[in-house]
Amino acid sequence: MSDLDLSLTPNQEVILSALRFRKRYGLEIMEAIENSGGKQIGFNSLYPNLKKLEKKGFVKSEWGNEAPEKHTGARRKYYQITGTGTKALEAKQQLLENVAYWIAKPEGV
Amino acid sequence: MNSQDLEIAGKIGELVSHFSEEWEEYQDWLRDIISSRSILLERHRAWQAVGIFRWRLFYFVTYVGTVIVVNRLLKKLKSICLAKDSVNFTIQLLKLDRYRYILQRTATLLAVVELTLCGIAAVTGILLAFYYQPTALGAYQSLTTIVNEVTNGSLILSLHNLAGHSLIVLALVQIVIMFLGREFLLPWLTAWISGICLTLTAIGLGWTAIVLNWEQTSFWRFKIELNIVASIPFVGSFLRDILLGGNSISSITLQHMYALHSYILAVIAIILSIAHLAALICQEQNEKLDNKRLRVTQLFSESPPNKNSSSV
Repeated sequence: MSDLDLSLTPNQEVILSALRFRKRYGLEIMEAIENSGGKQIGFNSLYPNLKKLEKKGFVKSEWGNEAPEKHTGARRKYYQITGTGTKALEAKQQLLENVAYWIAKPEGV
Repeated sequence: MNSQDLEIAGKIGELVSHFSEEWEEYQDWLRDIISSRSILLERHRAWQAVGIFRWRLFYFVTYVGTVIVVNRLLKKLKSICLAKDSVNFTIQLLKLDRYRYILQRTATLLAVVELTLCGIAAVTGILLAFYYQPTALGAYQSLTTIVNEVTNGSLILSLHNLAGHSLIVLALVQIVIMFLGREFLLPWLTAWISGICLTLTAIGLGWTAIVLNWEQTSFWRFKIELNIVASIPFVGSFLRDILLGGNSISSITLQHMYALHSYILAVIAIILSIAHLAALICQEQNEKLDNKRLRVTQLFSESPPNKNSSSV
């Protein structure tokens, strides 16, 4: 487990945070980020990032119960954070904490 | 936002749905693009909303299209690798090795020929220099004397010309051969750069030789080319002055071109052709060493496990 790649890009971190307590679909993730005052993620970078997170095993997806869209027949997908995803998010936050509390050793010690 | 945009989206959906795997993965993106249009209309002017909506559709198509192409290519590659059994795969590798060997050998042979041509041009050039006079009055006359009166003069001059022209042609062919057998290792890069420089030098030698004939054609051609050189931004007039050595084409111009041709470019060409050949020989030696190492590794991997060690 130690060599598991838990690295996250800033966008991926925000997306995972949006999924921390509930499953959401793509547009809802965007809205959540936007309405929380965060930096808006580009529409075109959200979905590729979601697919990358899914491939890494940080999120999993499931089809929604909504009827398919009438023009395209496209269905809605809901994304949910996994245990690994939570770990990655915690690792990132831990890193930020460590950085904040780090103090240089006094010289000559 | 009109219904035309929704029709476009519908067509895109229909198109992508032909690729079931990618459609399964990315259809929610398309759905959200359509769902987002009401928000776009609320926030932006109509034409802006249409622009953003179409841009999102375009990006979706481009992205998913790329994914489809890449996935198909990867699948094709995998199927090729799986379909070929190990024997076929080895044959393919051997064929590839053979192809590379032929290219490398050809490049080395061409480099030998280039060096030989440089040598021929140098020797015949020295012989010509015994009689050639780089002056406006003597250049044409001395060449006529070389051709008509000096023993084997015509042969020497023809050999010099032939070697110069062949060098340009072979250097160009060599560039193609080296490009096909490219390796991006130090010996290849050295040979590649020296090969290109050699080609340029050979062209330079040919160009400086034009005026040395001191015929009507060469004189007027050189005059035109000097004007072209002068039109190069910033350094043009400076270069023209160096080549010309005065206000018009004269004996000094001839001497400048003679010095460039015989002392500078000729020496550079010889040095470059030696460096080129040395780099190619080095490349071949490296390849032989690599092949030996590979064979030794294969030998060890194929040899049966040591029975003595298990019995102890």
